[in-house]
Amino acid sequence: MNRSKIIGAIEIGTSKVVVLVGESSGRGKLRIIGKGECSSKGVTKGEIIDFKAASDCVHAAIYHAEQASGVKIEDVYLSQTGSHLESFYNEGTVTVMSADNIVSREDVYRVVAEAKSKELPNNRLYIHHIRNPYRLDDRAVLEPLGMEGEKLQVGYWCVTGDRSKISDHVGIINGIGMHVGDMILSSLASGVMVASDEEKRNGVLVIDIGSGTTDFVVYQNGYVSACGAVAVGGDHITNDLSLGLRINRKHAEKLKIECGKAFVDKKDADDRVWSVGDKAIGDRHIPKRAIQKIINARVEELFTIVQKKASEHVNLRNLSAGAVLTGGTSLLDSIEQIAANALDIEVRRGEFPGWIGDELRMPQYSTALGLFYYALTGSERDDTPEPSSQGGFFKKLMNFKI
Amino acid sequence: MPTKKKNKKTQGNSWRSLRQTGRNRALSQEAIQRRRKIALKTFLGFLSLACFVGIVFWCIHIADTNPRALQLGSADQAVKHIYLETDGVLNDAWLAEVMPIARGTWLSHVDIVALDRLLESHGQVRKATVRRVYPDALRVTLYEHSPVMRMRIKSRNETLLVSETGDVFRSDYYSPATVDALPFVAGLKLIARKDGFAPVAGVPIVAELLEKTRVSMPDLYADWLQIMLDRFDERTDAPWSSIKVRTRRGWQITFRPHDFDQQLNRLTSILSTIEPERYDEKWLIDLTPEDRAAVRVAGSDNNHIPNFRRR
Repeated sequence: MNRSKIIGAIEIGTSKVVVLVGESSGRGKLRIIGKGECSSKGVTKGEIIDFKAASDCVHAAIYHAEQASGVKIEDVYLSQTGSHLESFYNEGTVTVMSADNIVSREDVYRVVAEAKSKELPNNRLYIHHIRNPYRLDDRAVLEPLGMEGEKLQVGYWCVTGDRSKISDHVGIINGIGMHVGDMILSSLASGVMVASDEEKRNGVLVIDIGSGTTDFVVYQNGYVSACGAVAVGGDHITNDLSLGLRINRKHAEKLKIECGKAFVDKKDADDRVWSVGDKAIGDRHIPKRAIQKIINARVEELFTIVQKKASEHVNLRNLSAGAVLTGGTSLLDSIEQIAANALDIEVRRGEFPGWIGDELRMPQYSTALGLFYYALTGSERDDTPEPSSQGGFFKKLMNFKI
Repeated sequence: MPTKKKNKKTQGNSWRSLRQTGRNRALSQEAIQRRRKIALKTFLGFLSLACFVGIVFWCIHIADTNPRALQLGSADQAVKHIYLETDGVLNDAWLAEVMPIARGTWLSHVDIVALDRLLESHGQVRKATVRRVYPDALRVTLYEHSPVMRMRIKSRNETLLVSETGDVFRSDYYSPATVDALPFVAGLKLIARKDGFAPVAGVPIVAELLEKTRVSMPDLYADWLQIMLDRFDERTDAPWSSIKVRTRRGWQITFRPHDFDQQLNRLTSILSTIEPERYDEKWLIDLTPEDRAAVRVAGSDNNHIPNFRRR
């Protein structure tokens, strides 16, 4: 029986909290029926520093989303970001057990278990095990079950996070009486929305530039081959403007949005803007060139860090689909040119699938929208196959101990 | 299998291993309001459930005690059959006479409690249970009194039976052989009632004597013709109280209304001393004195047999 389910996609960002409410029909279809948004408090660089303040704004956003949709959220999909996230690649290898070298469910189970078996320190928790393709005798296979070979291998891209920071995120959702159904890395959620399947096969780097953090994910051959987070985002640009131009953050943010450019535009060499805009005492002229220089420096630094971190795992030049930018800060004028220079690959801004409504076709919603993808597909859930039962009924009966 | 254990360990390292309780955390206003709403809903839910259960039990109670208040829909039909189960002699004809149910009466409309009372008001019925058998039948289960004595009412020209509990009822449904085997009783004070006679006090004491005699001295019991209760008082400590028995041979045996075992033992001893050729004489045996028995032949002033000391 297909029963509709009300799903909440929640992104607790540094600048805002976004809650989208979707109704899943149970047949792989989802209808977005409500949105709640609230300015973030108690969150810095994607991490919670004031639980009460963060709870207040997240719960307010949830309340508004439920009011807007007229339904109660049943299951929550929560995005996760922050500099505490780390990832590593772990591979398992087993020898096929059967005499005829046909891969059985047992073999698949063993190799998956082996690849996921790496122990973590007590303060770390796994968030994702992202499977890469199986390899049977060093050839990539989609599904090894029933195939012939001697050596079966599988690799998992494992994402871990700090236990207490994850617990804080989950605790906020639990505080309002909701249960977190799944937790998705922000970059993965954004990646599925702005990169097409073909781009993922060809190799693509998705960069989600938020306020406090920048998340990235690299797809190769259709699989995730690297991901990570950098604790630099749009807020740092605002902060630089505030310090460099000696204006408060509010006005710096306004200048960044209204006349910010990621590169120094020669056309604006002589242009000036008012720092506050009310032409009252204290308001003064600021050269656009100064604003652009500050922004340019920080954006270049940001992409250089991303390039450096991503290059630890993959050669970016092999990504024939280039890079895709998303996140609120990706709206910065000409940012893709700076990214292309720093990453030395083609860069474009992310575009949403056609079924996304105009109200949500903005890069700052890409993570929350991407959470719905995982709510529908559940592709990051544990895909470890169960081993076939040992023997039949009589074997179980013989093994039964009172 | 080691790999299985390892995998379980890894699951323990997953964020899913976190306990999602939300307790001991700072709560926002929305969270507090939501929790209050949930608590209120839970309370109302429990209250509704309790009310529902209460209503169900109340309906069951009403249906049990006053079936007219609740009609059980399509499962219900007019009464077509009445099944009788009894441990005695009453039969369907009697049941039809005492428990008339109008044609077309719905099964759920039958007041089975009233029927129980009606049947139990009949002296012969010790306990009656009427049950509905859906869709269209009643099952009547009767437990009857056993008669221990009979009495002849000359004015009404009928024989009544007396049970071990003193209940009095008509002998219509017993076979003549069964009735003839019972001793007559005389001197019983009957109190007429709307539906027959009230139970007679003291009969259980007489019934005890009869039962003990029947078991220990069956030949003598078979010879007993009449129980005379003219001087019987149900208060067993009354000094004048006695039970007189007249046998078919014309003997008269007088008992105290207690210590029947002792008196029957003494009677056995007395009988063993009477020669069989003198059985046709009218013996008067008085067992009322505690330490001796007076035995003599009617019309004779002297005791024929020496007194017997108490054993």
